[in-house]
Amino acid sequence: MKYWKIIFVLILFSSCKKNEVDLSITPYTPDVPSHFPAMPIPNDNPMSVEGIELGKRLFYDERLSKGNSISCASCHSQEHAFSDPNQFSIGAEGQIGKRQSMSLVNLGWQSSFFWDGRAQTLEEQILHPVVDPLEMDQSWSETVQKLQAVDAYKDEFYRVFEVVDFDSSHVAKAIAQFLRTLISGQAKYDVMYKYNNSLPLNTYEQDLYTQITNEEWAGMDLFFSLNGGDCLHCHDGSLAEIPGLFSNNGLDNTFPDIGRMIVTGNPNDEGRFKVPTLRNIEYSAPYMHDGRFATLDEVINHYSFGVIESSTIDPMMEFSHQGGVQLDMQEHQLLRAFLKTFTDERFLNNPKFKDPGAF
Amino acid sequence: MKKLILLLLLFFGFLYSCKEKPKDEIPVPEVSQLKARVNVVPTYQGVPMEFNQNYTTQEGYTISFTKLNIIMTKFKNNGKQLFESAVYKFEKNKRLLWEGLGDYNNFSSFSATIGVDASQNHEDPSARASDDPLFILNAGDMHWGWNTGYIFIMIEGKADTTSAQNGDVINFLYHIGNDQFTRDFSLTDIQWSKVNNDLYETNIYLDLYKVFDGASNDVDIKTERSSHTNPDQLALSEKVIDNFIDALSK
Repeated sequence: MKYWKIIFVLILFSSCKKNEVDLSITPYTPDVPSHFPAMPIPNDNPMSVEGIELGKRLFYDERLSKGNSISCASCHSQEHAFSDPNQFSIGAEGQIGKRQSMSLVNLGWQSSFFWDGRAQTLEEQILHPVVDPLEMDQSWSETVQKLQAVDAYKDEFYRVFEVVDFDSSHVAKAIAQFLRTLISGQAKYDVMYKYNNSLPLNTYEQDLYTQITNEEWAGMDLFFSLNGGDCLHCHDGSLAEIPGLFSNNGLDNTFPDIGRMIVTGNPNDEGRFKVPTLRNIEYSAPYMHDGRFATLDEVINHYSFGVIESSTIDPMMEFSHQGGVQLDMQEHQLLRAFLKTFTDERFLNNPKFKDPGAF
Repeated sequence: MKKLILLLLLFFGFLYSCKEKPKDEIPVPEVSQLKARVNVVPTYQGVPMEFNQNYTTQEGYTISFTKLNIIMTKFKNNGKQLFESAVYKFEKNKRLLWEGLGDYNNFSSFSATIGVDASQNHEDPSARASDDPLFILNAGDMHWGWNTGYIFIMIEGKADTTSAQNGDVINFLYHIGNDQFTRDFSLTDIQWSKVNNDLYETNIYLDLYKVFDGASNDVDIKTERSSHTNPDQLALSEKVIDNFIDALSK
């Protein structure tokens, strides 16, 4: 009888036990391609598997916008290399944006964000679109309130950041963790870069190597030639870009959008914009800060014949006095073929980046 | 019981008396944590240079500068090295080339190299430590590629080379690199000034006027407006880097 009492008490305790939530987090190290530099991770936002998952959920969550109408992914869709096929993105209530949505890729190596570089960290960048009247158009207090109404978010924010009352900074950190995983480094270009620098190729890259055409190799030569495409000044190295570079690439000689000058106030920055990545450029049309070019052909034509001189034109646009680098049709085709080597199929189809569904 | 207590007291008393007396502690000398700072001060005929300010060349051209980047390596004296490499990118009111631990007393003179020697110039810039100035994210646009290596000096600006000086400007740029254009230089009797108890600094002056009006070679922007150190630009590249070295002073 005595034992029965003890067993009864134990069962009672067991049944009263609250549903346990595993609160441990798993540190995450980004899968950086071997030919890339180490990714700088901010000390105050170390990556974790759970933080990335939380960030991904938030990235796809329409609660971040007024009327729950759009999410980050609405203007940065994976099939378009995390950019927007629209010239200007459509805001939460149908507002039309003023600039083309930038492709979200290899952001962990960036040191300035937006076309004008007004944010210096990824975490800072994420704070902007939610409150921008032309984008998600919702205050952070309202956004956080909506998220806090979801128990699963409360649990996950507590698990990742050990906070009960999470705020915008925690939302930004979580999304930043997810965005740092958007790494593209397995395109034909990467194989060509590694081959040219005698770096070993893995099995997948060896297979890609066999698929590289003579046209693409010739296009690469043209791309990096000072007397050919002359593209290397702004698009170079394993990242295929020079982080932190702003340029006036000869689109206009008057500037309805003054670009970098908005941030610096320096008249010499008028018409200068962040040099974007060329990663997956085949899928990230339209092009330029205002999305004026719908195709790669239009872009190549601009650099060949359409360059306009102005007081702030980048001195690297050395052929601006003759309107551009004057590529003939054959060179044009070679360059276009090379630009498509930046396409990274594994990145574009990576299931880890897809919408996990709403809480 | 009393005996037992007495025995215990004696025992502990004995133990205490056997305890080694502490020796007089020898003070450990404080390790010097002196820091040194090396600045580069660009000037134009002795006047501190500012971007986008107009200056006049010996030919009478009105010029202004928009970019000035330098890679300096192997700053040393008498077998002691202050730093291995530093990347200088001039911005408004920014003179800092390098700052770190180092005793200025060892560097009353020094030698250094403009550029990166051939043994390092063609290494993977992505594989360097993240705090290395030559790491690709730190060097930024001062790197061309593995074959060509780093850009040692980068000078860009605008010039009105018209005889009437009618405001019709052209861009000029000199991106000098390649192994053959590394240049050693040395300065003596260096003056270090005290910033605070732990930090001393010195300035290296660069007179940009002399980059164009060299001791033995002039660079005429009108006809020599650009060099990427291409094979057909070696003569100009050599003039620019040699003039640049001559333009450095303490």
